[in-house]
Amino acid sequence: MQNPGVYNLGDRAITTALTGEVITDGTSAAGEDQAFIDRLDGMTAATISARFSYGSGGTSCKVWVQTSLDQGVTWVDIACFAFTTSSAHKMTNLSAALETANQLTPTDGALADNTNVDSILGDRLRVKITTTGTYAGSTTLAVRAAVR
Amino acid sequence: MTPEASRASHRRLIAAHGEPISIRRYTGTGTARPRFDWQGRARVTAFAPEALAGGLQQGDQKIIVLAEDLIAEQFPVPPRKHDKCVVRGRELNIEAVDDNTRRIAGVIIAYELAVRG
Repeated sequence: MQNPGVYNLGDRAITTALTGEVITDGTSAAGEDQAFIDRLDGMTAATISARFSYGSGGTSCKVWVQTSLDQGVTWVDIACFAFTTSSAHKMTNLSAALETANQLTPTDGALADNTNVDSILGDRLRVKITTTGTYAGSTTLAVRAAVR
Repeated sequence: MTPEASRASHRRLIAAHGEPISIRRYTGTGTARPRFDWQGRARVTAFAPEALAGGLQQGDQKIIVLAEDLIAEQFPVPPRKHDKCVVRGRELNIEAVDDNTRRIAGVIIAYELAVRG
């Protein structure tokens, strides 16, 4: 694949409620800001780490890892990590080498808590989050992807 | 000099005289705040005594890092004041980022970072 390695899919200090906020901060090949990590053509697997450091307050924090198969026109959930009011570190591995038994209907910010959609990996990744309640006390989220 | 020629010249200089560094960005506050490092190669030098004016202090260092290397790592350019630079295992604070001096015809070739620590 192009550019295997560990990528930062987003770090965010969480305070007021966010709805469908993309937290990925990347750079295009031309050096322009973009809200995704690209140049991942040929990616066959992505191991994702989501670390939620809880401070205080808040209710829920949902984290959707997304890919796109149409150059960013539509984004598709491939994993959802759900956090509440305690620190947690969750990981999962997604593989494009598996064959899907059924056709899938893509979702955008709607995949069920703590589930994956395997076999679907495009050439780019990003993270979208929705939080409820007001977190405080240095609550942070960090999402990483080791792609190969 | 064209941007391509300048970039090639910088790359040769840094390949010959540079060293591996990381640019580190923290997010949030507190001991559990996340961080991420982008690795690159850079030329690390001291400022000349006559340059020590304004906000610069004795001991501050100048780091020249290729913009192309940061973009290849998908670092969200430009580096920011208060990002960190890890040089030989030591974490230094970025005091200032100059993205003008090494820009040719509007194309950024390299960043000059003033670091302290």
